[in-house]
Amino acid sequence: MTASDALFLDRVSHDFGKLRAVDGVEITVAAGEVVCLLGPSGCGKSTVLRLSAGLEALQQGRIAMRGQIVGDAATGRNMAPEHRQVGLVFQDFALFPHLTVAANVAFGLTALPAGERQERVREALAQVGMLDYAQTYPHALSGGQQQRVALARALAPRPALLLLDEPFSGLDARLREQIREDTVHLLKASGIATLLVTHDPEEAMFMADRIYLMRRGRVEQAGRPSDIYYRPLNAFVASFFSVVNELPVQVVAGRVETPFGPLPANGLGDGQPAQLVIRPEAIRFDGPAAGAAGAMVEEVRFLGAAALVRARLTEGAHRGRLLVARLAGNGMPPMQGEAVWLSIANQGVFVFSGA
Amino acid sequence: MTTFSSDLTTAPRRAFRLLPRWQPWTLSVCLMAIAVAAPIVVVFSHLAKPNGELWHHLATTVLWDYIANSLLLMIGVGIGVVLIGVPAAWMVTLCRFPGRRLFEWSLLLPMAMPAYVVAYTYTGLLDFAGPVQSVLRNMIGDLVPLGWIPEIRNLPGSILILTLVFYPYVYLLARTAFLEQSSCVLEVSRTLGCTPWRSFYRVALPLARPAIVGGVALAMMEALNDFGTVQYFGVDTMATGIFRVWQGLGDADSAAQLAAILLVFVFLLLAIERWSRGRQSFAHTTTRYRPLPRYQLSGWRSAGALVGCSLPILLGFFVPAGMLLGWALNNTEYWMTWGFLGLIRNSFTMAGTAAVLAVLLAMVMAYALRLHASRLSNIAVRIASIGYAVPGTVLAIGVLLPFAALDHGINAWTKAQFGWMPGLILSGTLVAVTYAYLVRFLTGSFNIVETSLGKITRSMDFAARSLGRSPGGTLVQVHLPIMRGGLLTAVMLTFVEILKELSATLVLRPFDFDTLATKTYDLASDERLAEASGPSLAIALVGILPVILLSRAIAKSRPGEGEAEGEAGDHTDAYLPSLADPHLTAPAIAEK
Repeated sequence: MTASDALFLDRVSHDFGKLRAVDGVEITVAAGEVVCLLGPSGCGKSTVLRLSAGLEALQQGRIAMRGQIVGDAATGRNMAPEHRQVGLVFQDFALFPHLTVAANVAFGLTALPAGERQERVREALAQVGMLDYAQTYPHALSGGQQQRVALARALAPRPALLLLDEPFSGLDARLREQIREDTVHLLKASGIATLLVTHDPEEAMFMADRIYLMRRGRVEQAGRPSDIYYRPLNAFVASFFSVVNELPVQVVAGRVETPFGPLPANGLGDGQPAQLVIRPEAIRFDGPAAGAAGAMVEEVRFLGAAALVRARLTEGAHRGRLLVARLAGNGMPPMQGEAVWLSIANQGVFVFSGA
Repeated sequence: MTTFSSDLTTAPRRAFRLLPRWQPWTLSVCLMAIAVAAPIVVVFSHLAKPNGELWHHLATTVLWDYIANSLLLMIGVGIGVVLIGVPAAWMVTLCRFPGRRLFEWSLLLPMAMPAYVVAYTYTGLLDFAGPVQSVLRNMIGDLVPLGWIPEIRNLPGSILILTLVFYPYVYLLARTAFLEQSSCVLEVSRTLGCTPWRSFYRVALPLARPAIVGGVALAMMEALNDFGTVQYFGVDTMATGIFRVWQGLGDADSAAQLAAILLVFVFLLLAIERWSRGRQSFAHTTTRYRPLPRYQLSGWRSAGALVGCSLPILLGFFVPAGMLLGWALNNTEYWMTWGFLGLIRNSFTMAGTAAVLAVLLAMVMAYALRLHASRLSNIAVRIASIGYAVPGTVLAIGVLLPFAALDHGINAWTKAQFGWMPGLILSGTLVAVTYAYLVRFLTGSFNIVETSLGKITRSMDFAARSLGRSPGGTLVQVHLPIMRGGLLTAVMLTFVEILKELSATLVLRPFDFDTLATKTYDLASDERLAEASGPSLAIALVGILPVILLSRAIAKSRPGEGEAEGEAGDHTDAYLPSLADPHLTAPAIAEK
């Protein structure tokens, strides 16, 4: 932890009755950094967010913001949410229905004199392009507009940390991409430290400087999006970001036997069960060569910029196994029924222990 | 999706906790539950008492008549409200015919008048000097055959009157149920080969059945609760029996035993109604709505719908209202008096005080559930909101017996200690009446308060907190402004219900203390029908208010035709106890 870190969670655990929702989590958000908490629903990511905001009483561990302890289970210190200087944006936006857009944004600015407050409201609304709607009531806004007002409301008091709880999942798909892009630009421009909770890996990779991938209350892996994508620590992490091909393989003399020739066993001992994980885009159609496996194309789905090809291995120990390949780039995809040679790329192929 | 549970912070949910945490919110709702349950327990406890001589006499003479009449009344009203309410709801929601939009809300008008007022206007309408006989005499001379004039002061007449007043319960619930059915479901049944009529019987009706059953159970409870109509018509039911055994024969124990039997019937209905509530949530097959496709009615069908919808409104509202107006205008000397103003003052102050109290208590209940939901507080709230089922006469007995005993005890004690007696502190005072009102009408105000509190999502609380508000600041700046409309609606509707209440008021009121309702009853009992028109018209005028609110809600809240933004409008549906169930909306745990 450094004094400049906007948020630091130190071995934080949290129980709901008998259920351990958060289990020894350590998370850092540096100043100006956008960090995503990613994971399937129920993994504890929202609880981490609520603990950080002070909406949930801390049961175990410590939480610090900018070097100051705001929560410490050992001493019972638990700073109230209204004193933590955090901005919150919710999935349902939680705009106050009885207040205009401007009054919503001004809600957190009571400490300022009236003139300055108005100026700040204008500034915040201009930032999100909602100045024209200042006197509108929330119910008259579209989902995307509500999201922008919620963001302006959270940013207006210039909090030390912005917490976003699934802020885009209430929006429909087309709008989501646009708003997501606008938001990430806004966050970067304002330089605010942000912790964003999402279950959507694509969103996390798009938004985040760093990702914490959680499962069952624990952090499975943390790192930059590309690190997590190309250097997953286990099969769960690898498969969370895309559909993957999983093949059980044998470790023989420090190597695993695969349809595409032997690969390093990643330190697994001989005879240990191992698992080969191949991302669909790591499968190539290169023609016969060393390390190529014969296969028969069963199905081709053309997606425009890419094609999904299902091919069944026709030789070797894994004969009869169906693989999914994602074929990007130019050129015609193979035809159904065509005999092809499959080989694998350097990136996107992993060996893990396990059945 | 993440739903924020109402209380993850302090009350880890366990199946069973041996020692409840006596946290102030929980403690308050538990005390309220005890206060509401007390009269019920008192009444039931009399079942264990040895039967007195009078009871033996009752059992061999009139008891079975009481029970049979109550059952017949209940069943008759149950059938009647289905026959009027369901077709009316079906026609206005799923058909198209002239006047449909008008009927949609005006079918609620008969709710405006209490049954006992309707009962005596019909008596006036049909008696010798009334308009019907006068017209007949003018047409065919003096010799109107006796059989021509329908006798209304009997059991079938009571069933007719109560049906006319209570069918809106079924209409309202069935209408909502039909509206909430996805039009897709009905269209699918059409594509699968069902005619419109077969779709109705095989899809729409089964889906709406739980709601209809709930409405019928409510109407039946009201039929058992009714005192004014049957008493005036001279039909001996349990409700009038209790009154007579107690007031006439002075045997409180036997009256309480009768009341206990009546309570058994009521609780059976209550069980049915609760069951139907649980089933209603399953009927929601989708959350996507489109304006319902309506079947165009034409020719004789359209005319039939027109007549079918206007008849209950005409008979249930316009005929009695016309009678009242006619009497009131022709007999201004009876009610343009200081005495009448006094009646209004009595009624309004009493109903106003009790309504405000009821809403305050309802807020305590709603916040207890929101802030400290636990198994115990859930049960306590459930008990505290049971009062709407208890008939007024039963409630009166249940309140008066313990209050009288308490007064007796207090006086004995002060006499022994100080040689001085304070007199009646509780029984026969406004305290007793107010207590009974709170028990009976807490349910309605609680449902509305809870509905409007439910509109404030947990994330709004969190947003307010993170924007620098303390819990108190959040209450004042977020909760109260958003809930204001709901709270006003709750006060208003409770006020009207109390104003119309007759039987408990009649028994518990202080000596010589008259309200609009009791005066109406007294005057009508003395056959001074024209004089009774003043106070009853006042009741009816106030009674129109909830109808206006409900009809505004209906006009605004059509699923698929825009969400309601109404301040007051969208709370009113919750006033029917069955429409908003606190226990179905119990908080769900987030982040399992």
